[in-house]
Amino acid sequence: MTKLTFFPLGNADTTLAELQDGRRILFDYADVATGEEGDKRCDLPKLLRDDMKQADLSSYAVVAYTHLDTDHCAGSSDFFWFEHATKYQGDDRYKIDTLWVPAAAITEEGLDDCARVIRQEARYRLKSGKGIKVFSRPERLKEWLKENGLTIESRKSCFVDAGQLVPEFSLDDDAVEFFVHSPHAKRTDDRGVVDRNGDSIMLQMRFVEEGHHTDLLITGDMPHECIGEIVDITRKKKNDDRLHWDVYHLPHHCSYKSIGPEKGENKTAPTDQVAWLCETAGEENGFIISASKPIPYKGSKEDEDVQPPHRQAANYYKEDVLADTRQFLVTMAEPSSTNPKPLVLLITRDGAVKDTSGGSSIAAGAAGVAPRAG
Amino acid sequence: MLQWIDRGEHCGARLLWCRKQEEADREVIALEVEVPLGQRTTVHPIERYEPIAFIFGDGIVPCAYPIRVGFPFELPHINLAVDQHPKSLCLFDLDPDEIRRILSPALLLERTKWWLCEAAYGRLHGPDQPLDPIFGGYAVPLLFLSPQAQHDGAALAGFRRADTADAPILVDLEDRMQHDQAENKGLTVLNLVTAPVSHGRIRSLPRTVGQLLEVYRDLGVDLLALLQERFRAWCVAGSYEAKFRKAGILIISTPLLREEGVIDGISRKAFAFGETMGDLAEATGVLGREGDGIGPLIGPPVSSEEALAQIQIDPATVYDAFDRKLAAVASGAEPTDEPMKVLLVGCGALGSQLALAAARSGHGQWTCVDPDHLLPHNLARHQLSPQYLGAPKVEGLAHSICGLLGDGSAVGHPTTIQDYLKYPSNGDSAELLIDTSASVPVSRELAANKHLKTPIVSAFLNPTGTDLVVMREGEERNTRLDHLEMDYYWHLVTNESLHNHLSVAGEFMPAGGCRHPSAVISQADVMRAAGEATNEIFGRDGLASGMVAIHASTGDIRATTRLAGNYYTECNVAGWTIAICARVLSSVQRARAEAEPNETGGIVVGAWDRRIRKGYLVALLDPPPDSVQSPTGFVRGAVGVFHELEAIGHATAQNLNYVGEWHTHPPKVQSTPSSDDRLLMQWIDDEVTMSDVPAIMLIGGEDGVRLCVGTTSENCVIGHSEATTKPNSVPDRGAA
Repeated sequence: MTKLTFFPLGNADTTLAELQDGRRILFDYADVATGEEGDKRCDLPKLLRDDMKQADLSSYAVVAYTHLDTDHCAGSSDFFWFEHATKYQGDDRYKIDTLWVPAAAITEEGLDDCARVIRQEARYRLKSGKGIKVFSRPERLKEWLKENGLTIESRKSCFVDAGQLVPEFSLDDDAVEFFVHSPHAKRTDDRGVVDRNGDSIMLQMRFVEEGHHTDLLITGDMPHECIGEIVDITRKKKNDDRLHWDVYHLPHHCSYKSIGPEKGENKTAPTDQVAWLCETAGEENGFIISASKPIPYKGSKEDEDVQPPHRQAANYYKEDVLADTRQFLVTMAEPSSTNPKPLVLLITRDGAVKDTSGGSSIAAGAAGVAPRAG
Repeated sequence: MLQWIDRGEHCGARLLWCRKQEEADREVIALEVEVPLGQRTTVHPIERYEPIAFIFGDGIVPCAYPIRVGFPFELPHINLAVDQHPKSLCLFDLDPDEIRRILSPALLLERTKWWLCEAAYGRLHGPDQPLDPIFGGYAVPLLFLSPQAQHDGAALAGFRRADTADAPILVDLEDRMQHDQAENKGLTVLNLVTAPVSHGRIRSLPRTVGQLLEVYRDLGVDLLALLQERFRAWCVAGSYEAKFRKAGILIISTPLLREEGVIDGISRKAFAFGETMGDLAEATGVLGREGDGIGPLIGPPVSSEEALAQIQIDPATVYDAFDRKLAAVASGAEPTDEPMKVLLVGCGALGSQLALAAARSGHGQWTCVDPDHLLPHNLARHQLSPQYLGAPKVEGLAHSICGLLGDGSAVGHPTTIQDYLKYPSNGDSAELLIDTSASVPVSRELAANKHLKTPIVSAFLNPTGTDLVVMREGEERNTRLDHLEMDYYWHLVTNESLHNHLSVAGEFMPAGGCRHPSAVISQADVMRAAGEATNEIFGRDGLASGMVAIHASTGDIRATTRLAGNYYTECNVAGWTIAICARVLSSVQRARAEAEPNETGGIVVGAWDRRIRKGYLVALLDPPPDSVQSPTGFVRGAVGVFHELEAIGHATAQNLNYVGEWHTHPPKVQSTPSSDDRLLMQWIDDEVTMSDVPAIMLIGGEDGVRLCVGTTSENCVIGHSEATTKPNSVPDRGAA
């Protein structure tokens, strides 16, 4: 059974997928907790180390950075083994079998800290021609490749474009496949300016369990304009099914800007495309995950904050998208805002279900057999 | 549980309210349980958040009660309750004590969530699980004693063996009932079969006939009309007074539909009422009373609702009679309407236990052959009980098998197998012949019987009873029991862990004196072996070349060895039948090839059956180290020979021994015996003359392997496509 874990990191993102065969895939890495009293954000490195030790693994099958904002890559240089420099190597670091990055992560300049380290790693791997998947048309990096003595042809296998499946995974072999939505064509033209959010990775993760599919949308920090582009392109190509979701990992920490241009008084009004994505392509009995601080109450100080999460956005999702508001899950409020814990969804034959056992090893389904006969 | 929920360790439930019922010493906790439903459309209207009340108290197993208005209580696996009382979820298929042993707050909650999720998706009742009956609930057991009694329209009678309130009611055909049972303690039994109804939830038990009729009316069945029709038929048939004057039992059988039109199970419930069957018949309007007399009323029956509502009924849970099908289902075997015809030779300890173990799994249409009677000392290990003392074993065994599987399932012949098989047709009909005679002569006679077509299986214990041996002949009897017996002996020689397999056991004299000793073997060992033999024979297929299976104990470890049988070539030479193992022939050829240009040879190990004048050449021993091998001759040495033969004799309880010599001729030389060979033959003959068996010599040559028997001129060559017998007129092949 596949397991998805969403970590409580405030307005920051890290999602761990444990595949059926035990391999781990990490989307973003944000070690943002300070450890100070009152900081309820989790100790991400510790939790991940414990998980890897339990699984007896020394590497992640994939580490995917949707984009290089700090709240998606903070602390990476202390946790992972990076091939390009020995100072980022050691027994206590975890290796990355394949690094997934958007094209912007290769070309963006003026980066510092972890974002820079990741960029360097991505460049190193792309030059080596292995252990990397750049989400883009290869042509987007034609100049960069040329500058580094490489050709598109020689590095074609390191790229995956929007509208394609990542070739290394399949439902038959891995019980999971990844359909790439972004960066899409408009975003991968050489515009000279990097728009990290709009250029971030957005994909549909499709799982199969006993013949049934369950879909998760990973959206990075995608604004509504880009979501709209993606919806239009996808529908034009009659690929509607590729925007279906049972679990919607909200873009940008429940920001209204991922729904529509105006926040609204109590509820953000969606664009047509966002409305289609949320209300038609999605499952009303699905889950919406907001990797964010708790949704502010109306009139509170947090409600005045321009930064997400936005109450009005949450109201749209809760009232207009989901059949039950309790399916709207906030990472810093599960199971409660006073004591948030990693939020776990299990992919079962019935779809995505919340794991509420608290990590209990009780196999309830097996608790019905008397142990002896005679 | 409250503390645990309050701690927040488990986020799948939220406290709604809790209260204490002082008078009933109960505590109730109501939780909103988060049901782990995915996005698939559910089959039943279970909601994602269900309010459930958990009731705790001393002496009870905590139960989960759905408290949402509109909860689908017609689902299966919901516990019964008296009408108007809350209904709880049937969470466990365990005894209360087992539940108490494992129950914790976490398990109770997880199990409840699991129940709700599985119920929502319609998976709670598996497709291979029997359908729930219409009525559930604990009730007095009613036992059908024979399958024929379960048929619609059968004339039935019932009785109880004891007068206690919970004593089972026994029901059988009237004419099978013993007189005193039927008369003194008898009950009138009416068995009705209704039209099929759809599978649904278990209903609460009705308490009166009126309520019973209402339940069936809801299901679309006019039970009243069925009753009236049956009572009328009794009246028309006459001799009804005795029936109507006795206390009555009503059995209602209703076929259950899993899907539209597919019957998958029968719900059978019985109801005993304190009044007589005549009272019920009167209430239905069929019977009338005049003083002390009773009789049928004329005209359409007019029932009395008031009277029907006053007839109290006590439920009885019906247990179907044991039959072959139930035997198979309960054992995990495949039910069949055409059981295999089994001929069982030998009905002693192992045979009787094997037969009954197999019968309890529904196997076999049995013919049992054994001349012995059951004696007191047999009771230590025999399946039969003391009531059969002095009777032929086969009689008791057949009777026991028929009692399980029905009349005609077994017959007994208290005779020897030799006499039984004098009539070839007796053996022809058997599809499986099991020899549990524990007699080597019997086994060998069966092996030699050319009329028997079906491969024979032989099962026996070693002398101490610790090990079981099962030998199964090959396809079309191409390897026979006696061949497998030889393979078995040779395996004892070559397998060190079995060197004491045939060690002598203790014995005692059940009748004093020194005749007819009986082995000292525990019933536990026999019982274990019988189980192993049953599984071996009925649960496994044989091999084309036959098979020997040895279940042996070494210390605390029980291990099974299975050997494929070896083919044997049989020749009739000099008045003896000699069976030569294929291993022997190939060994001669191989040794000849490896030794060339020299001759080589050694000792032949085998066995003799003087009674049937048959010899078995089972294995070759390598040339002793002091043998002389040259291109012109071979002289077999003596170093180690004695000890080797002694060890072989010990391991096989003297069943294998020295039978002769083998040697090879050089390349391009035929197997024709030389003058030296003839001298050697004479020497062998001198060695074995006191054993009353012929000398044996095998010679490997260019033309094959020659078998020489005795000092006569008869011999034959084997190893080519045909075995030929020809007089020994071949000249010397050269100086030795």
